[in-house]
Amino acid sequence: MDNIRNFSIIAHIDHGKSTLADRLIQKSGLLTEREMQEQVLDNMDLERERGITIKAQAVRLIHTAADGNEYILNLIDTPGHVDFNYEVSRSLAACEGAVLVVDAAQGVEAQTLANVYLAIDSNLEILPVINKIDLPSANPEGAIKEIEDVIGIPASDAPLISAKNDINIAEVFEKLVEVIPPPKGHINKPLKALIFDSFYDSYRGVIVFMRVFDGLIKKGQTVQFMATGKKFEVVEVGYFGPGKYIPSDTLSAGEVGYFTASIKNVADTQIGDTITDAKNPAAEAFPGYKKVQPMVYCGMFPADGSKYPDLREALEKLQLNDAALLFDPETSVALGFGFRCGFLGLLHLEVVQERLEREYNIDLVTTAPSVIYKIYLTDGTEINLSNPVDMPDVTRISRMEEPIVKAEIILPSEHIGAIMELCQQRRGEYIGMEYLETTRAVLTYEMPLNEIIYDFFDVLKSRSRGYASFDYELIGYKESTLCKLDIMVNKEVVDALSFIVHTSTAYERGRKICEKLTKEIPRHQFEIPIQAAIGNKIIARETVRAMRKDVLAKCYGGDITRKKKLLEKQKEGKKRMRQIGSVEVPQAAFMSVLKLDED
Amino acid sequence: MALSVYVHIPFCEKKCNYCDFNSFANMEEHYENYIDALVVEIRNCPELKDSNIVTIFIGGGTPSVLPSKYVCKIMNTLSSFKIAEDAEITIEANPNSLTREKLLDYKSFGINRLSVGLQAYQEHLLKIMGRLHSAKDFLICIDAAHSAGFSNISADLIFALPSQSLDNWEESLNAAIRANLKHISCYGLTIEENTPFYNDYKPIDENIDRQMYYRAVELLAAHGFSQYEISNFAKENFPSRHNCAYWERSNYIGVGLSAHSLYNNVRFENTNNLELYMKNVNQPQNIIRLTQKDIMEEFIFLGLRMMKGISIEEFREEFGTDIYNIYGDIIRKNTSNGLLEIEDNRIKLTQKGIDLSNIVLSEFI
Repeated sequence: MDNIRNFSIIAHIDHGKSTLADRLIQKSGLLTEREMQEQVLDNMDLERERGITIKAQAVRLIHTAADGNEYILNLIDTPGHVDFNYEVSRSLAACEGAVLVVDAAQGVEAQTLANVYLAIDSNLEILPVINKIDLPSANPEGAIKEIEDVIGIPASDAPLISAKNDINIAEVFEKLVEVIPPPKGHINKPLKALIFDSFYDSYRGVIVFMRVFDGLIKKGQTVQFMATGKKFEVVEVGYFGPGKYIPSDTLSAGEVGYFTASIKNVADTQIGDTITDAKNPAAEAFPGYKKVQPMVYCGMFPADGSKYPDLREALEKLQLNDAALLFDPETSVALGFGFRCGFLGLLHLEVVQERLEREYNIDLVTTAPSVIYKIYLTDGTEINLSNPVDMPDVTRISRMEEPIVKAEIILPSEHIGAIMELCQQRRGEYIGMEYLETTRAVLTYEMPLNEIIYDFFDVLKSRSRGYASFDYELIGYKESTLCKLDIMVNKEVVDALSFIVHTSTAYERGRKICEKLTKEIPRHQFEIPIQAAIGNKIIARETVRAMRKDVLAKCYGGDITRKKKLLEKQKEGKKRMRQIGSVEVPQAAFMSVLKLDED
Repeated sequence: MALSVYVHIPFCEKKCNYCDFNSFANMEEHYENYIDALVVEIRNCPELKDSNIVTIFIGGGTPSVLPSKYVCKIMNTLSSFKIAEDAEITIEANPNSLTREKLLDYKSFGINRLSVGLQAYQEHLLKIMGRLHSAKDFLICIDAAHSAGFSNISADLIFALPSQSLDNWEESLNAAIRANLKHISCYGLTIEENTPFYNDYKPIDENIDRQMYYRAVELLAAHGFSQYEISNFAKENFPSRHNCAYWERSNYIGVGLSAHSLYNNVRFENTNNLELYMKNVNQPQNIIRLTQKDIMEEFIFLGLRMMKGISIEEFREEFGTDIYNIYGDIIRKNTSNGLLEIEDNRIKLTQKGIDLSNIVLSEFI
């Protein structure tokens, strides 16, 4: 056990986490250059494109250190986004240490902070590494000082590396062995292992990723999940080769690996749950287990109504590997049959949406994302509202609460004014500001989550010219004056466009949505009023003018084909529209209200 | 079998600023080659062999830019086929290229109808369009045509031009009315991509566009021109028979560059590559054998362009089923929203239906 080191890598997006992971795998000689696919750990196309890790992955490296001993280094790669905070915390709990990668040019960023605090909370040893030192704009001393000042851990002898250009990687290996403590645990105690991820394989069932803390696990053993209570007989155990599973006889205390047990459903293998021996169970489970709860909901409808069964099938397939994704059938007057889906956050939502469109070829119409509101009715009942359509009549509501997050924004000081204004507009409550260095600061606000899931991130980026970084965590619920804003097209409420909004911003949002829809809805033979309403009160109105003329004057020299093509195109355009009363609304109109330009 | 023939002349003295049709300016040195190729095509055209040619339309471009000898060649070649006694034989012309000599020549070739591009009667509008003639040229040319013995003359007018006023439009209509014509076409300007107009102008206000259109219908009717198609008006017995052949789906053969044909429910077209055409490398292209569904759709969307609309009875005869069995929902929807009306067992566009005809017609596709 003394020769094992279990660690993960934490970093802000683009600071080089995956590149360093690849470099470590390559240097440990497990793969030849030829086998080395770029960024082995990020397997999904989407992950590679976005430069983020969505699913945790793990790999076992062998390293012969300067002391002559051979070490097993288990690298557990973590998701790098706030939506997956809980998953990150469980991956970290499976380690004794973490490599903190900081970009020598960028310094500490919001995600770095959030994840490093999680690591410190899990009592991990932190090994700071300064990456990209060969960039012309690199300022390693500045990055070191920031780590010491902001995070408060010594960083003066952090390895100065370039993962991309293979500078000083050997020093990282040596420091890993030196700084990160070996696992503690007792092989003679009852089995106690932590699930940090799981993955559905159509041949073997769920593959459970785990860290063994005490005892051992082997084939044929009956194990039990302590939170769900489910029991399974182990079919295979093993550890992680780069990009493949390598079976072994046992895994024992201190080791990282996987097991399979013909488990049909990832929901049975909850991240953070404790695995123990069914006959000789551990006294208590690991602390910190939480059942994942979606924070953001939206409706997803197939653009082509006949694709509804395909959408269901695709969601079912995605759910096999994503216990955090929830979905229930939903029917919309405007959009037909679809699903109300729950996500960990906005990124999770976007990832699922993109995978459905790209991997399953389903064109989607999604509705405005909604958080979960708590509604207390006058009769004493409490409702968790995740779909604006279900909002009870105002006369029955005694009060409403909305989820609040603590948001940390790291940004160059020249943008502080603009971003504070943005946070204010989004009903943020100023908590504090700290300078990281003379030109950079961290702003802390408490903000309603519903102001963030909207288009906050895009606006933040544009107002800071791309320099601000941002992270948030849910801190609780707060009473708020909220109302349901309905959008009416030609006097008919379009259910798919309703959303919950704070009373103070209802007018502004209503007006913008009406303006946007006016641009998206084509003219008809009659005038179409577009209205925003709270209850019976109209708060904004725009008009799509009536079409007076749509006629072809001439047919050149008997060229009927050209004329027919024009008519066909017109017809084709109509097919992709949704009928609301007698008005045809293009799909794009539903999506356009999700991103209202700032101005 | 009755057949209409369209002859395309892809040449102009100058391209007009609104035109996106297949025609070229400054190509005088190619006239000879082109006409030779055209003659070969006509001579070898299999559909012409057993037909009775009932209309000929020499269009363009501007056929009147051709020296008469070329028009003579075309007519001579066509004359080797059977042309009906009372055939309508039209040539398109511009006021500036239509000389007295040419008019007399045309008459002697057997051409009996002229379609003259007036477009507008105001110098500033003619200039914006890039036309080479003046308003006066038009009057001179119509005079000359009458004295050369042409009685069946049509003029093209364009409304909804940039900077055109309602008064301008009325003045143009009146000029055409006074010229003692048998036929007037009023085309609403469509600003097409890849034309100078596309970069320079936006379409005028739709309300003004429609006012102009309604004014034309009214004024022309008051002077004995009845509207027989969305853009066409004629004195009694003078609707363009060639034009009607398109809307009524009679057989027609197009010869010349990029000309279109419909023959026994097959649509096809010639190459639009001038060089290839002049080398007589010209196989029918984009051949579409119309299905029963295509034919029904064409029957409706072409037929509805005619003011008399489509006959419910004719539909049943031609397709063996009631039109309501297939398009009942669409017909009912559009009659209830005032775009179609039913009269004397015929379905036709209402005034509003004409204005929004693309909306109606596209639903039948």
